[in-house]
Amino acid sequence: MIGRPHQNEFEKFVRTSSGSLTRTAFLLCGDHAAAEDIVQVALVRTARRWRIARGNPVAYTRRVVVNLVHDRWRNLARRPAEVFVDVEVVVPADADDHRLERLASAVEQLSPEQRSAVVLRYIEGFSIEETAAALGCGTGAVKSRTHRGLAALRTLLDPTSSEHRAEPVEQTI
Amino acid sequence: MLTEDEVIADLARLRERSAGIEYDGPVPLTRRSAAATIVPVAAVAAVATLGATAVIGTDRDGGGTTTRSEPTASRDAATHTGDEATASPGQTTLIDAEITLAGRTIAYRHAPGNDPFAPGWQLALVLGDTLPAGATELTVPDGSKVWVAAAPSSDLGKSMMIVRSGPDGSTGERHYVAMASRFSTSELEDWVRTELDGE
Repeated sequence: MIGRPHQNEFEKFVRTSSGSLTRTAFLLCGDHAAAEDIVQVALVRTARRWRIARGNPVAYTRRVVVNLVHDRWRNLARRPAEVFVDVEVVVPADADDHRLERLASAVEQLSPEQRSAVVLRYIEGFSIEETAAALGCGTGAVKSRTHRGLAALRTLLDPTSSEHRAEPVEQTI
Repeated sequence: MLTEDEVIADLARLRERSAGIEYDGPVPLTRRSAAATIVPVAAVAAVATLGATAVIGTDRDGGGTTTRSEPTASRDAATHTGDEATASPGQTTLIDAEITLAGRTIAYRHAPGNDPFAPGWQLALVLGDTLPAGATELTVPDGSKVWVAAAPSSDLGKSMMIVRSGPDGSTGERHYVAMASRFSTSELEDWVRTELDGE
């Protein structure tokens, strides 16, 4: 784990960053309890590799969080669909809330790569570089994933938008 | 039709949903505690019942002829079907079993119901880089060391058998790893001397 000289350093990191890491995990997975579990596991892994992680512990742990969320998505995708009984349905208060509900639901339908890129880049508001570091990919991949993700969201939210965008393609012979 | 900018603006508003969420979980221990860390049994240790051996006579050291029954090799760590083996009158049935602990396989035999690592005690404990105080060192025939010490808490058993793990692939670190036992410390020491040294 961590040697005594770095003990305070790690604890300070947990105190100052665990909240934002939990919020990131929550925005990615949409489940508060799961987000806490994910952050707890991520912190343990960071502690084990503190010598490497201490250079930029937030970026290191965020990357672990993203990987754990991806694992969770994969596991959930393999599970048979659950049927909920007696679910308390939350009715959005107004049209604005309803629009955000639809958007949140559309984000969940994106592919894992597009979803994590869109969440980190546009919901969390990270820079392209920060998003790339968290996803473990290049900035070009972030740009293409967010671009495709936004296009998919526009189609999901307004199915006619893809028809509007369809333009005749000029053929060159 | 929604523009890309409108979608981006709405996405930014979704961030408000995480407002007020804080981490309420524990801060991971930054140093190993005196208590052992319990890790999933399947990851570090497994007990396998290999089959039953019918021994003519009353004990295996009494010079009786040993005849193996049909070996019913099983790698299922969760079952001890061998415990249900029955012997003909005049025979004592011993069960061949093995433990894989920290990459090391230890074969042994035990009488039915007398397995130190019986189900319920199959706990793999990572002790860190120091041996617990009062651990007794024993050398087994292959020259490697095995230690026996009291279990860190009564919830985990009465004693534990400790081996040293091989170097970790990424860090090169070696740790002491233990298997909790329901035997007392002295019983387990005797068991290691007679069962492991005798193999």
